[in-house]
Amino acid sequence: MKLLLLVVMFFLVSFTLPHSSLFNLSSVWEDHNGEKHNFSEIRNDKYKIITMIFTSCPAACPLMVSHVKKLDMSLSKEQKEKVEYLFFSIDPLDKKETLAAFHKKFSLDARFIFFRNKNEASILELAAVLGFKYKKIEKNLYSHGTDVYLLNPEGEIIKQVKESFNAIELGKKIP
Amino acid sequence: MQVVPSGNYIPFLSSGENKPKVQIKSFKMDQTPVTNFEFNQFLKANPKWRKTKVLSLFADQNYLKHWKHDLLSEGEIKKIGDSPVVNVSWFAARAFCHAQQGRLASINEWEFAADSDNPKNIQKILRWYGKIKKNQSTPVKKMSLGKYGLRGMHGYIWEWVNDYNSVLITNDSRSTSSDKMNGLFCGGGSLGSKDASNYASFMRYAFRSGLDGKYTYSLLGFRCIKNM
Repeated sequence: MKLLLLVVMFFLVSFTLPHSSLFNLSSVWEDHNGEKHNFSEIRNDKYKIITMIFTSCPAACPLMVSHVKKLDMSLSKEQKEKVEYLFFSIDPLDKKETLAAFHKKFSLDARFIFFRNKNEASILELAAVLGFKYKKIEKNLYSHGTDVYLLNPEGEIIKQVKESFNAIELGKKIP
Repeated sequence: MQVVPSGNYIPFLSSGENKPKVQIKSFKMDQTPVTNFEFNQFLKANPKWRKTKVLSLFADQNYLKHWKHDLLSEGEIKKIGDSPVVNVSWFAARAFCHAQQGRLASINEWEFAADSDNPKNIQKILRWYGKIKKNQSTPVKKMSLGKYGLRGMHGYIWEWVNDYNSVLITNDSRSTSSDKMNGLFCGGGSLGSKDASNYASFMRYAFRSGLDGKYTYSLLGFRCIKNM
């Protein structure tokens, strides 16, 4: 009986999400390896660094990736094991091949994951919960913010920087 | 719904180097803002958007604060049923439109339908800002008629648009090299707009730039559109 209670408790704790958790979203994203994930399945025991980019981006996005990489380099070994870096494309035309090429170009490890979505409404929804601003200018060209967010393992935003070059500050909040 | 015919529109804050003109495809638009009664009907079928149920990810604490309970009472329906629903977040507005097989208008579609450049509308909206009220109880059917048979586009409430998050004031505004410079100066934005004297449009764009998807406000409602 006690064991059953424990099992029930475990399920309650692991399935009840905070109301402000991003893992309440249910859009489906494809990663740079071609695997599909429901947004809620991105949840695990890791902290998440999140931002939005697009791969045909001429200037800002490569810089954003390198700022996030710098953040990772500033972390301790213990911290590094507790964090994942997720980049979501704002361009519904982005392909998994270009995402994979981006991943390779920056020599990133498996903790860095790029996602794309063909559905504009899902991209906009994610931007809206993050408070990320972007505007399509023409095909394959967007204006956008450079905000970077830190999510706790439950999916709540616990810190945000407006400019990606300050991403290093997010590291202080990772235990 | 009213038909808004196709046409060309020059966005108020222009970006994109060579083609400031945007082609608007024709669409159908709600003749009036969505009412409290209509929103109540939506909540009957979609409990997850009721105020005690809605996730804080999708609406702030003031969501539907002018309603006593999750659903309207008979008395409330009589009193505010016909007036525009306000205190709704972008997420809730979007869910409402989707449930009617519609969607929120883009900024360009909304501004085009609202006949925003018409000097009469600019005067009307400036008068509204001059004596802005805390709430809006005008029945939507009594709101003044504008172009395309649409009621209440100006002078009553603000309305959500789908791409509210696309008004970029700073950060990476790379539209043109001169635009980038403009961003560095106070008042620089006016150089990028097509008519610097259109204060009414400035106010709408500034208002939108301050919005967040879960944000609610006592003078912010919405209406839906459908593709033709």
